[in-house]
Amino acid sequence: MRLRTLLLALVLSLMQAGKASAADRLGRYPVDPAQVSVAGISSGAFMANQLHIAHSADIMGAGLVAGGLYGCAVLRADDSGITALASLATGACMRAPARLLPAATYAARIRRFAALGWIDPVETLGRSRLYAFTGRSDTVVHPETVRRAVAVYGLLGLPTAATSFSDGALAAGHGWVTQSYGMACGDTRPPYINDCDYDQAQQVLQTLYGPLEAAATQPSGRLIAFDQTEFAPGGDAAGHGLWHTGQLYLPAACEAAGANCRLHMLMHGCQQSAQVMGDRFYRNIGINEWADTNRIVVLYPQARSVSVADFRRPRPTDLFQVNPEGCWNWWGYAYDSRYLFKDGVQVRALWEMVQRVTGRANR
Amino acid sequence: MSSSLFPSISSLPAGTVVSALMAIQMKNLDALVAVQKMAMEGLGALARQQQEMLAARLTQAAALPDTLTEADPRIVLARPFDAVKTAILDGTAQANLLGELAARSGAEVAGLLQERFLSALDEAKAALLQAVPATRD
Repeated sequence: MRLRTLLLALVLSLMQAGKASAADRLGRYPVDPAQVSVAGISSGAFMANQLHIAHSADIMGAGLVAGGLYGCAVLRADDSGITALASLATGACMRAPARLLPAATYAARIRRFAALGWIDPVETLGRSRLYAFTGRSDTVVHPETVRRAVAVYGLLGLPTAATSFSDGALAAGHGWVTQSYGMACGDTRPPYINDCDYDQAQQVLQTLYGPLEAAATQPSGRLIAFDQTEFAPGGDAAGHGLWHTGQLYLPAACEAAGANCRLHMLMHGCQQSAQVMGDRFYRNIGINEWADTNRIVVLYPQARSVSVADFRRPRPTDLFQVNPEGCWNWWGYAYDSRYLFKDGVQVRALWEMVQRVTGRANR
Repeated sequence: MSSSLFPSISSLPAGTVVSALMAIQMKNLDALVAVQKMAMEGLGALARQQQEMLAARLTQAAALPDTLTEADPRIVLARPFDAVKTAILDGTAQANLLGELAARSGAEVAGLLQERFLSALDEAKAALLQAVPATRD
């Protein structure tokens, strides 16, 4: 009888270990709410751009690597909402730049969304900082898309002096670029981290925060896994493209309650989430080394793939709502027609994470 | 063998069941009208896209003579190849877009019909259950 009880306890504990809620609740850390920035690669760049533009009053700047053009996948926009298409995301936004709209059209849409109160007023964007990067050998997201994103910022009032744009200066393929880790510089293949003798982590953080202390050779902080399901509507992370667990890098200098640290949120690209490559992305892109010596807490939220099986009630339209490669939502998958705005599922989830870490109340 | 889904319906008391079924049928007709409207809107979107595609092609064609004024012969040589490559990618992107619009439109129509059909089943079931007195042991 005792053996049976023990076996039952063992089975229950193993089941518990495999559940999404195994990670801790995201905590509050000593971060200055005025020093919050975002960045991302590929679909993460599109999401960083969306988050920045939606919350520009509270996010000081953005880093866009090989992606990012707000509303690029939108077919129609009016005062009732937007219609976005996956085929626009993969077509005009990635490989057919001739089909992109003029920068002024995207800028006008952003102004309209702001006037409707769906995103922050655009005036605050003029006080931001922007880092953008596109590699000369990028065959996944055409450089013109990144150029158009930079142009939109300019039209919305961001001064050239506040922008650092590496436009084809390196023969980099599609990926995050490092000093000495990853595939050959011109490659476009997993893990989409390329060794180009270029420290992109430094360039992003320096553009956003100004001069930095030298990076740590070996990070002395710690990575903390946190539960993401609480940030999904109804706790349904899978059905909204969110992985159950996110990561936070906490430098040793930010452990003390009175420390005055900064917060940087960094988003992976498609096929780079923890679901696909475990800790490979957030341990090897070089950000933690710079964060360590510059009092920067880093949030690494994680997306996940969405298949038709993840929708609770089967519908004939499900096939158009999937996200097979675990990208961030920049074309309205998972039935989220508000994905560009403050009340979009992922934008809201990411912003709530920021608010939790900074301890700042909702706006 | 009866072809009706509800063969015993004629033996049920008339008044309430008939009016409930009439109401269900009216909702079905509403759904059909909405479906028709959605299908027409889908076609409208396709037509608009076709017009935009034509306009873009014309703009492209009008831009071609610039090639002749280029000084560097290597650029003159390369440009037609790049133009063809761009046209292929552009055409594929456009075809994908039209395909998605058409397929989405069809799926949305099917979705609307599915919703109505599922609701109609629930409503018909409720109306019939209400009409038949519960048996007591």
